[in-house]
Amino acid sequence: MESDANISIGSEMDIVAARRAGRVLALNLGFSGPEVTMIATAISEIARNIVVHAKRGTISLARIHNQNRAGLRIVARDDGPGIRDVQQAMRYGYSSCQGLGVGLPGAKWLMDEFHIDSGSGKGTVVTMKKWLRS
Amino acid sequence: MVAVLNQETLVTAVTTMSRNFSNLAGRYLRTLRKFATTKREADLEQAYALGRKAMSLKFGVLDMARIHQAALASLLAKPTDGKREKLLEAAEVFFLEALSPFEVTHRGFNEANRRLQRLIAEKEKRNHDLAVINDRLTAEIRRRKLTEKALRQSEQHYRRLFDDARAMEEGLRDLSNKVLDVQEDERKRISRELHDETGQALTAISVTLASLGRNEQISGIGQQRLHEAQDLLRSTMETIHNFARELRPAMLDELGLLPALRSYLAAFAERTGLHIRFRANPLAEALTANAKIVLYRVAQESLTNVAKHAQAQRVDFRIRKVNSRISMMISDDGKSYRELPPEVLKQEHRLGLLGMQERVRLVNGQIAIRPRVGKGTTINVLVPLNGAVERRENNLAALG
Repeated sequence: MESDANISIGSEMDIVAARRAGRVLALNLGFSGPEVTMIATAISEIARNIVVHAKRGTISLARIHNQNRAGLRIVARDDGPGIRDVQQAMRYGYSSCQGLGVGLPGAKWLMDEFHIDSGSGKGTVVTMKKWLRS
Repeated sequence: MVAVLNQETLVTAVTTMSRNFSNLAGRYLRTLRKFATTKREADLEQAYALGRKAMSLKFGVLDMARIHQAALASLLAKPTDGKREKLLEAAEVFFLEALSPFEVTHRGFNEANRRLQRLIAEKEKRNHDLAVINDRLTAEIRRRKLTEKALRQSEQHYRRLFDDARAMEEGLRDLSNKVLDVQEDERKRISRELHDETGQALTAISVTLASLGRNEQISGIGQQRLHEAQDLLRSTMETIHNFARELRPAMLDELGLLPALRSYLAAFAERTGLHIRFRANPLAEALTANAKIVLYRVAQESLTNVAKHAQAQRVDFRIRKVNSRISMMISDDGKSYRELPPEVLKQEHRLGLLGMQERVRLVNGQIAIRPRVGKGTTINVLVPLNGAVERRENNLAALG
């Protein structure tokens, strides 16, 4: 499946760019206003995660389909230090540096599907999907 | 004082809160105005950041609605050059963005809540399981307590029975002790009676008969009758003498155990034709009077049994000192009672054995009857030499 956009992430500006790309794609796919906002927020969170912990990485956006629905897939990839305890990182209220602890679990709650593959020293790949309501 | 302080603290908090609120509202208005004209994504992210800031300052969704409403009213108050529609559109996107941190938190709470419900359900199930186990344990404890109580009661019951039996045995022993004492006294009295009164009378008759025999006026036939009477008298005197000795040898009281036994054995051997070998340690005379009588009676009973049933040739009779006790050992070479036909082994015989055992026990002695097939019987009696009371206590202690 081809990506519709690849955004390299390395600064606050890149975060904004990723949000913008995600918002545009989501609007094109026909997501509602609140859903678009949620997608933008989720992208914001994983992009900020890259900037804060790995310094650099990429975010890829793609349209996807299953049998009867269209959707949006977001993949965030970095070669940073990785997350030692993924389960702990996904717990509500956990945050390595931000006060609110929205971060990765926040992104998960805003999306329909969320998968994270990480470990100490092996970087992090986060894959998230949101499906259009039929 | 405290109330005043609290009041002040509250006032300070409220003041801080409203200052934060105005700051936030101002920033919100400025950013929204900018976004409405530029439509830049960066300003939308600012909206998101403002939402987070509001949350961190403990403001709620309703506060955000007020801030948004005020900002929108302020923007709409100025002429919009027909861009009113676009302004409203931008305001909606901006508002959603500002509210999205609340949405995230709300969803997070929902998930935490679901997890909590699951945990509570699990806990309740576990509580239920524990309660079931607890009930079972309680029932088990109750059952065990009942069993324990029953055991204790039955133990007490048996202890009472045991104590009763022991008291009864004690009483019986006292009684048989008394019976034996009385029996000995009675025998002694009858024996003395026979010896002193009857014996003297018979002696007097004998003297009279002898003087009659010297009377020449008594004819031949009279003399013959006289001789017959004298013979009868002599054998009667002997019978009575034996009987008196059997009952209670005066010798036992006057000369001691060993002379009495020796004399008895000699008479017994003569009467039965048994060969009796007698060896004795003179220390046996140091025994108590009761112990001596017991040994004498056991010797009598044993020899009577040997003569009655054993068809023995020889009897070996030995009295020794063994540590602080005197041992009397009687061995015969006849048939042991195990070889006797059951009809011979009658109650009388059993009673004799039982009587011996009882007598020995009363002086804190021990008796062992060892029948050996083909080799006769050995009876061994052990009686304490001194300190009968002390030994009795030792025996009791040893019995536990």
